[in-house]
Amino acid sequence: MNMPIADKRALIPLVLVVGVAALFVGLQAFPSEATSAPTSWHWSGGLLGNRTTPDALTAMGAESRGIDPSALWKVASTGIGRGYVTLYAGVDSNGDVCLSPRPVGRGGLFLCRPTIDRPLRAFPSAGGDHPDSVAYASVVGVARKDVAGVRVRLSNGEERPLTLNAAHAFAFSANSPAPLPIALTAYDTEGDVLQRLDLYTAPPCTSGAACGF
Amino acid sequence: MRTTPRSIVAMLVLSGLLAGVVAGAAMASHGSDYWFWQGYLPQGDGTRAVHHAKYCCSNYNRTRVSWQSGSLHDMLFLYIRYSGGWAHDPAYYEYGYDWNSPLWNVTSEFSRGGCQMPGAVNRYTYTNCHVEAYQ
Repeated sequence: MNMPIADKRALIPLVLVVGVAALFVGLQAFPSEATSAPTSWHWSGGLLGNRTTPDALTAMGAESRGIDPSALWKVASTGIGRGYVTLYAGVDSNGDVCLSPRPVGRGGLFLCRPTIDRPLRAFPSAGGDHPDSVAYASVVGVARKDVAGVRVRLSNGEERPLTLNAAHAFAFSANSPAPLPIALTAYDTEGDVLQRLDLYTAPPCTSGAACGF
Repeated sequence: MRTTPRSIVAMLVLSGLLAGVVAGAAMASHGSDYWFWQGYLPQGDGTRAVHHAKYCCSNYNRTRVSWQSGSLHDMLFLYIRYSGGWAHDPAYYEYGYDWNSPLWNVTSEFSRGGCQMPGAVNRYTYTNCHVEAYQ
């Protein structure tokens, strides 16, 4: 289509506006995290853990994501009472590994193909008897292959190393009045920090009245 | 039309507005009657959590949260027990700022579900929160 040169020039601002807008949208859709894949997850050679029969909630979630509920692995578990949590893993129809935390009373959410640009894929959960206090806090998760160690920071300032099991998974849980987990740090073989992660252990309200429950 | 520095600035501003409209339209795919909460968290009085009663009589409920993407921080799903206790799980920003919670069993101890701004985050975030029956 032939257009007069003056008309073409008039389109330049429009093209610029749309182009820059697309750039903004693109930047929002893809956060400025490192996108290269420096390493891999530990399960590249196959899932590790204990083959298990899941509960109904987990099985229903698995089926909704195209994951065979009869082929799930129990990767890690920790905690007592309401702080008990299990981490399941399965493989979807695309062959991607999916992880599913199962705290008490809820579950069935499978996160497939976890992003490799985060050294830790952690699933914290917490709860309490009153809106302004925390009674228990737990975390389960998996570490990338290049993670040599994971430490948990507790509410009293103490730091403890966590054991990475055969699936390179970790777990920690505590019930008050014991110090609660509030953050994780992942280290490489040189002892350099790969990631720090807040575990959101704070209660929902600073006072009971503010939450209305 | 000449492309002057002033017009370039105007185009950039217009581009930002257009990007916001596109992103907002993509996120808010439901009307205000779908979300039981739409607004900023924390609220003006410092309240960080909003919640809604579960729906009878399916076996499961779940909560959905979407939030303004610019700040790249996580949100939390909040569950409230009949006893007044609570529990929460995170919704991570890297999965698209729009999350469904794990399913929660209607017959279990939770009476309400909702959304919570993490205590470690101190910025006002426009949040949409929804509770629905599931199966």
